[in-house]
Order: sequence, then C-alpha cells, then structure tokens
Amino acid sequence: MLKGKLKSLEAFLLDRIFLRSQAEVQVEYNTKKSELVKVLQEDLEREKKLEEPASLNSFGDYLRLFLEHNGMTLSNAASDYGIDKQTLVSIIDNRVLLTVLEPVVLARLSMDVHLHLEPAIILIEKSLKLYALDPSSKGAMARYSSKEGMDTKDSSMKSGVAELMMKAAERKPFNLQQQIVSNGELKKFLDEFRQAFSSL
Amino acid sequence: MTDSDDKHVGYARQKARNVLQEYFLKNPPELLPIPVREIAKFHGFEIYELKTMNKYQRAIKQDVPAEGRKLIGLNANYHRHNQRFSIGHELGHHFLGHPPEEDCDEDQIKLFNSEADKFSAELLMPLDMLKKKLVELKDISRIAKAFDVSEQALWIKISEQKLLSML
Repeated sequence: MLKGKLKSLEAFLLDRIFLRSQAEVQVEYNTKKSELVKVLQEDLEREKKLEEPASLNSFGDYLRLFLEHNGMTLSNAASDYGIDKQTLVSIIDNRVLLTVLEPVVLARLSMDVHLHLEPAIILIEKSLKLYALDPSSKGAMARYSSKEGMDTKDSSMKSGVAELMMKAAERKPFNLQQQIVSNGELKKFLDEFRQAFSSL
Repeated sequence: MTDSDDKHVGYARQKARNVLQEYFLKNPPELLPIPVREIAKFHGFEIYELKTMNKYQRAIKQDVPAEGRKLIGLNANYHRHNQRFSIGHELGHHFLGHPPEEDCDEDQIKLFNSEADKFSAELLMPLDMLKKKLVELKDISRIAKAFDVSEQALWIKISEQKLLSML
C-alpha cells in the first residue's frame, strides 16, 4: 500500500513538473506529502497495535487491523481463509458469539492472521465480555486534538467506548450485564480451541 | 468575538469557579495544583486510561444512566498535563449540560468543545490564583509547574485573560 503511495507521489512529480508553475507544483507536492505522512503514521499506529494484540478490545478488532495493515479486502480474506464474508464481518463487528463457531475454524483463522495461542485466547474472552456488554457510543462525547479527530471520530469513539465499558465492568460489573456463555461452556470451548491450535 | 461568545465563555468560567468552590468547601484546604481527578471522583465520575483510541482523540465521556455511572476515558498515550486538561474538559461538558455529539452538528460540536476548554482552563488555572502566581513567580515555567499544566495551556490562558502585562 505504501509502495503504491510513494509511486503515485513520484509519478505526480514527473507528470507535473514541466506543465505547471513551480508554486503550483510546490503546493500540490506539500499536500501529497502530508497525505503520505498521514498514511505512514496510521500504518505505524496499526503496526504498534498489532504487536500487542492482547491490549485490543476483541478478536474482531485484531482481525480488522490485520486486514487493513495487509491491504486485504473482505473478499480476499474470505477466499484466503475459507470463511464466508458475512461471518468475517460479524466477527469484526463482534456481532457473533465466537463460541458458536467451530473451535478448529477459529484456530485456523487465528493462525492465518498470525495470532499466537495465548493472545488469541485473551481476545476470545474479551470478545465474549464485549458481546455481553453490547456497548454503544450513543450519548458519548469526546475531546479531539485536531480536525482529523473529527474525521475519524466514529471508529475511534467506538473502540474507545468499548474499552471504557470493559474496564468499568472489570472494576464493578454492570447490573444489566448478562452472562451469555457459562464458565463451563467457555472452558470446554477454549480446551477444544487449544487442542485444535496445537494440532494444526 | 461577539457578545454572545463572551457570554458563553463567561458562563463556562463561572461554572468552573462554582465547581471549585463546592469542592474546596467540603475538601479544604484550597491548594495548588488543582486536584482535578479528585474533583471528578467527588462528582461520581470513574476515570480509566484507554489504549485503543487513535491519537486524534484525547478523551471520551460516557454516561450510563441506567446504572447511575459516569465514565471518563483518557487516551493513555498523552502526557499527564494533557490528561488533566481532558478531565477538566469532560467535566465541562457535564456541568455545562452539553448534549451528546450525535445530537449536534459540526459547528455545535466545535462550540461545545471550545466552551469545555474554557471551563477546563478556569478549573485548572483559576483566575484569582493565576493573578497571584503571576505576581509572585513571574516565570512561566515555574507557574506552569505550580498549576501542573503545560506551558502552552498557561500561555493560552494568560493571553485569553489579557494578563500578558503582568509578566
């Protein structure tokens, strides 16, 4: 993705340099350069988050970041990982209970997206907690550092509220929070997941 | 700045002074730096540091009325000064009665954020205390340290309150 951006910057310079005034070229060059810097910064931020998967909110968050970081579309991912697109979307949005999937399917997906066993288990557990909390960013307010903050507010607000609600629930469970998967069911699923992971 | 803007700013600052007065009345003595986390807790807020927000968002506030809980999340990647200002900012939204963002257009969001900033600046650097420190210390770096705020935030406050001549 970055190579493509660099190439377009180079092509832009070669294409424009003889046709426009120096000032015009400079203005557009600066714009392209700041776009490139923004892409690079976002890429670095994603990479940093992927290096610490257990600090993310859910398995779906990791999957979304992994696909974005590798420039993969949902269709690419669906065909590469042998999981239908709709299921991938539901995992990414945390709209499916991961325990309804076959442990072996989830184990294979974890390996395909370079997720190790322990962080994968942490993320599965977090996904289930988040599913039970069903956080909504409705009613939330934010403090932004720049215009970009407003432009990216939806995705950042969503993950911020999800993390905020999970941390608040850890300190003191919410009354409305329901236990959707019993401890016994979760243990059985994770044992099968571990087994599937080691056998792949 | 229009008269209406002046009124909004004046109201935000006055609200901040009321919040401080209420806190210190029940939690003396009134010392610097302003204990903004304790003020938030005093008013029932829970504060958490968050790692998943992008760098463009510094903090979020979410009320869970059904549970009687008020939550503030701070972007963990920001400096303590910034986090202190963010707590003040989110308290500003609360005490100024701002509606949730989904009910606002972009201009309203900007206006409410600006009011919350004025509230926070007054909460962390109350005007009367700031004037005293300007006379006493005369040095930006030492004054910023006394209030536990960034020098940038202090410069903005001094400039907005037209106190540059006191330096």
